[in-house]
Amino acid sequence: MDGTLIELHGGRLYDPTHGINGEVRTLYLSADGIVPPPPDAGAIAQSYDVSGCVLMAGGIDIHTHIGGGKVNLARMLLPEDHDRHPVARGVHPRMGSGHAAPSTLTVGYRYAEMGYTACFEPAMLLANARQAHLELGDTPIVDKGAYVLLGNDDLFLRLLAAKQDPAVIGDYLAWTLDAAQAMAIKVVNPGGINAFKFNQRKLDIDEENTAYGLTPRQILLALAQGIHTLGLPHPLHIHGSNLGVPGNVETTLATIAALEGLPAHITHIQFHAYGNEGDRKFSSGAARLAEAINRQPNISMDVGQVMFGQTVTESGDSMRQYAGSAYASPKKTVLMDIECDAGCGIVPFRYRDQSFVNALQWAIGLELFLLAEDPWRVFLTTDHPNGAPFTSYPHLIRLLMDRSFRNEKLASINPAAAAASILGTLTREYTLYDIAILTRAAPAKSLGLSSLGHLGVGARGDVVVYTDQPNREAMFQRPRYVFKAGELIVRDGRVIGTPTGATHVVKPDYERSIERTVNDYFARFMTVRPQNLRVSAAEIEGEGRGRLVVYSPRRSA
Amino acid sequence: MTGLVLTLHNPPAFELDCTTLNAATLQGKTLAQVGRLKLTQGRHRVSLGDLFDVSGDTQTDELTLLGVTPKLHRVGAGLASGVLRLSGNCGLELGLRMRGGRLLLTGNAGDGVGLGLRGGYLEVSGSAGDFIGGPAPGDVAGMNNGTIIIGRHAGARVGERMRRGLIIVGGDTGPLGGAQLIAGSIVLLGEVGPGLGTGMRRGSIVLAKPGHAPAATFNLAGTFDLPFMPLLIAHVTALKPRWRARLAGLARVTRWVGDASAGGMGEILLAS
Repeated sequence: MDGTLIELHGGRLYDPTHGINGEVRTLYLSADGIVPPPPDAGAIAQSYDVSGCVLMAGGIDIHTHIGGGKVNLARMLLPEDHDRHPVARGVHPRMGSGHAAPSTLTVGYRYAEMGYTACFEPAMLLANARQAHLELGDTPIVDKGAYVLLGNDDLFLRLLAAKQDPAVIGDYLAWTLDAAQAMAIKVVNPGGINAFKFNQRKLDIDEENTAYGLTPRQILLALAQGIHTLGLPHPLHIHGSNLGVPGNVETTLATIAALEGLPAHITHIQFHAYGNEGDRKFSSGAARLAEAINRQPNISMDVGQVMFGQTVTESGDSMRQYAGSAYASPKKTVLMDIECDAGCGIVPFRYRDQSFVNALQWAIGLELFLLAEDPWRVFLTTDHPNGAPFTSYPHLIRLLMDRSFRNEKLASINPAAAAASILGTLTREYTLYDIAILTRAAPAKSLGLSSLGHLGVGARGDVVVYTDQPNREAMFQRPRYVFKAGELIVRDGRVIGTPTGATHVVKPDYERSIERTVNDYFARFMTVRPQNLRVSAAEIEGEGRGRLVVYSPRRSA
Repeated sequence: MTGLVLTLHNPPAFELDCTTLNAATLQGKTLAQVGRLKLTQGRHRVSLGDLFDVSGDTQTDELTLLGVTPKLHRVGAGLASGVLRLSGNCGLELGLRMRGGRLLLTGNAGDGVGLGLRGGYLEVSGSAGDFIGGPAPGDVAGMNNGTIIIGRHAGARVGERMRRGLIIVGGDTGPLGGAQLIAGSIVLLGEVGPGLGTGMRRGSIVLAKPGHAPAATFNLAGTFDLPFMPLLIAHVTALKPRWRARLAGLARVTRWVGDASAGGMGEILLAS
């Protein structure tokens, strides 16, 4: 055993991974993580009486845009976001700024203040991987990882159009994961970003990308099959087609069907759950979508809840961001292509509770949360910062746990939107156990993080102690203690320790012969060589800057 | 001297954000309360009383800052009413997003005087840096109303992307004055740098000193006795009587229209 042994006694544990639902138990933490009770009580260096408190593992945000090219572009586009939200040294260990696109330091501190100890950046291009890892490396405290974007890059589309052997495509996926130091694979508007470059302004699930003759359905299936064969812990992370388009629930249902039973994660599903009924041709598709997902155990989702206020939308989906740029508030936008791999769109946006569309978006997100029967397949996100900054999570948790509070808020939004939603009829209230699943156990399980998201012996020792309060927003906003890898880092909502979190990556095996294909492609079409883009382990770990946690999945036959 | 007086006795070694220093935020407080007010200095928070001697009367809407140094930034930011008098050489972004009232600096100012100005009267007796009346951080357009007067020289890009209002510079100005001007009036009494009015769409740039040759993307439209020039001259003279003689040549002006490279219909008016 290494380091100081800490005892937390008297608290109620919520550890869904081990089926512990509010039992009073004693936890022992050291630098090794959560350890069994010591044979000798004298070995305990510090003992905390946490009677009346709620203990959970550190929170895990499975989808939050906190690093990479687009975040930096958002920071540059919105200097006022930093100008109006400075954080002086003293409030946090080091100064920072920002609300919707905060500085890296502020991101780490704010997550830790809320009891989150791991965050995953969902949109990292290979071309931007170095920048993304530099920013993630500069984000203190939290463990991190990133999903690499595929499905719109020309090489993948060429391989698929040439009807290459799925094994070759699988090797390319694995090579990209390795080169980008990524944790999973995400596809954004499959084939659509590429189609946008060839002047297509929309791409439905069975519509062909004119340049390659491929449909999103084919791309999704190839990626999902490749990931399944590689044995990656996290399934294909799908940002589907037609984001934000009224009536897109049909596309989302078709996307689920296109996967043919293969595992997949549909991300920020609220933005893909719109019907086109009613006078305004905009309605909720949440009930249909939730019903479909409840029936399909291969599908998980995160919600991407909208909360009211100023934010900025950041996405690789340049096709949809181009369409959304007309609604930018304030009126400024960045749209760009990045090394032919994907796109990028930054559109500032203000969600208003008196806007019919925005208010219904808010209600649709909550409907999805409340209609999803299996909390293990739904994760709590706002798609930071696209639906709202992650700092709104405590408010969102209260909306889920407190029906009267939810109805009070429902009464204050646009009346037509409130009338168009079934939210008022939903009586479900999430329990603390459910919240522990949504924010800890389920994301850890989905990502294959064996040492995070639970409180069993062998866990990394990320433990959050909340003071049990009827006001769940206040409770989740300001934990009493947060421990990271057995070290006390937050006391009474104030950051007092700033360890460096690990970077989680997945390294499946692949045939090295794929490098010849990649090298030939780069030599012919790209401005750099693949070795220029490849991020080495030393760049992340060197000189004690960080630590890699490598998962080596086993390829299935 | 009336109103509250803050005298800088401990000049900050590095940047002090003075955004909250205006009579409206201090009015009605006791002198002790004013001394306890927190300001952001670099990455720290400091008490106003650690840097300034506080005296005078907090019941009026007048505030005087004496001994201002270039480390004081954003003085008068958001000023909405009352009078703010400054003495010394001021730092960046004087009068940022000011909405009303009068801000009078006896001395020189750094870059960004009157960024995003929405109203009021801002006067610098000496010289000022670049970007006078330009867009505030994150804004698409520059100043939207109000008046800025610079007694002596000004740097580059005076009135860049200005939307409305009046800027008058008594001395010489740097390059790219009135660049991407959207509308509003800029009166320049001294020599001007190259690139005047580059990309301007509308608005008027008035040059009181003859001899300037506009860029090739401006078209000569003739010489005129414009009815609005006597009004402008009277207005400027009312603000600064000592400039009366220098404005005399503006009674008859040569008009250049542009910038044609941006499809602009703005005008550069040259004293004849």
